[in-house]
Amino acid sequence: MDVVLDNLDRFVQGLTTTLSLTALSWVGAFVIGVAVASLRVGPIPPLRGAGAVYVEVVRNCPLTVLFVVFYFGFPSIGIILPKFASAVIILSVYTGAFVAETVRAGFNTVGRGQVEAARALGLRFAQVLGLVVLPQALRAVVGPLGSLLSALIRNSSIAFSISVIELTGTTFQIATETAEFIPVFIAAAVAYLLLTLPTGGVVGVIERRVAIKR
Amino acid sequence: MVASLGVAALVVVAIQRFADRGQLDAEKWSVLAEPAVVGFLLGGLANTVKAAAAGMVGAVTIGAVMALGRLSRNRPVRWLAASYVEFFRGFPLLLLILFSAFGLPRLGVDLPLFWYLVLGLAVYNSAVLAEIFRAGILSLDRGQHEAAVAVGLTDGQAMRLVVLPQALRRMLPAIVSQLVVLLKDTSLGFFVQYEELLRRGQLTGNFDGNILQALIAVAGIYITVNMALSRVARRLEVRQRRRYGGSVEVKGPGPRTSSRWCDSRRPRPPAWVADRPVTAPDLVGVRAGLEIPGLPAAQVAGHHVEVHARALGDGATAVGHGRAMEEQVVAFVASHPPPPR
Repeated sequence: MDVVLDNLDRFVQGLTTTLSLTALSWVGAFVIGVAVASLRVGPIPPLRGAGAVYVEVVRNCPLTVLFVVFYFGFPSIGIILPKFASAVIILSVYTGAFVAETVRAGFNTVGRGQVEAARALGLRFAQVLGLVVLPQALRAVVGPLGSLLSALIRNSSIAFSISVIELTGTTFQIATETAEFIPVFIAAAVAYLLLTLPTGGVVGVIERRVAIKR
Repeated sequence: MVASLGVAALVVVAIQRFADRGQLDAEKWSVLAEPAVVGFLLGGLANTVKAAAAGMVGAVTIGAVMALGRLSRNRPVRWLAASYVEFFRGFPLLLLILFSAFGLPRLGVDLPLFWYLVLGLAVYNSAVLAEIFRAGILSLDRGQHEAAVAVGLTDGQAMRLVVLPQALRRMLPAIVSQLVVLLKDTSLGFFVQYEELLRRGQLTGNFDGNILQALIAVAGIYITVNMALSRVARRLEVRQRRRYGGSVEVKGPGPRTSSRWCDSRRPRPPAWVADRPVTAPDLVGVRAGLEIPGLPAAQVAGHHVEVHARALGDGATAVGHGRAMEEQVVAFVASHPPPPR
């Protein structure tokens, strides 16, 4: 127990890194996800294809492989970024594919009549999407997006592969320095639960707030 | 149009970039086709598959035990199984594997490296599978268990001989889908120096000075294998549906694929959603929060189905849960018997 208290500041530091990594990546993933989902329902065939390829490739590739390719492979073509920025980009790209699928599922929950009515009023594709479909679709998938967020919190631990020292990295360092594996890992488990459990609760509240009463 | 050009430009710039830095040079890529390198990488793939297979066997076994525990009549047993599942599902798998590989040896457990990785994979995935199994067992008609008890089987026999075989068969596609997740997760063996595919890709890349090409090849292998496995899961679904019937097409709002709905230049396809019929295993999978191959969440959601989300492993698109949902769809399936063949 002393091990945990003695190193509390380092744990807090790790937790902060995990949080900022998650928050920034979530923003990136959300933007990518909505953009790709929009491409996939759009009127331009090559873009629909590009969106589909992106989602298939990224979803079937392990996150660790993406990290390693980006951080160890891409310098060969002159792309060299700081560790933290690399981690944010990779987590955004990876999670973005899942967000895209979820948002696309949300599009399908919006009734056809909505789209037809909007088109009948003379709205263009971007207007139909932005003003009519997206606001309804996003409300429908708040819950699934919440699960993706807590998956992202857990996945951010893989940033350790490129030595971003977040919660998992901190835990591992403290554990190897002190050789006190059990208390340190239990502390980390509690920290992760403290992050993921409230996420679920907050998402539930938002879900109820924004639900469309039909 | 502008966006199309943008994507095309991006591709051109990327290729240019590769070419400028000499990364398209034939020898950088041709090394990958040398028998020694191919053999080395395939050996890595074999190690990956071995770890995934062993992890899967462990995960299925522990998962089944935990699912039964959660359905037990004994309150402490139920509580223990529930805490196991909730605890390990919320835990990053990487932390578990690090603990297993570095923590256990200090606690006096001495195993080959392979088994530490397998242990981590098995424990984490067993928690996910336990939820799938539990949903599978709950999805089975109560009458099955009641009938079994009525003909004189004990509770345990009814479970073992009647309920479990049917539930497992229903869950098979979901289990294969989870196998894809597990196979991806074996790449975490990279962290503990286990020589799986990714680690070997890095080793050969460093050795031959073509790290980028080697890693791209590794990514390609992963993507190919995982796509093939996903296809197997879908095939299993279809076969199961043919053999056991009992499925219908759930009609809902929306075009055949979501990709056409805003495109005024095309004739509208007939109102439909199903890429394929929705079956009982789908519902179970949906309940467990899994992503079902070929079944967008909206197909179930479009059928006026209440959807709640639960956190699950590896960012699976979670759309599951709610008895209300299941009951409605089951009622729908019941009232629409499949056409005679």
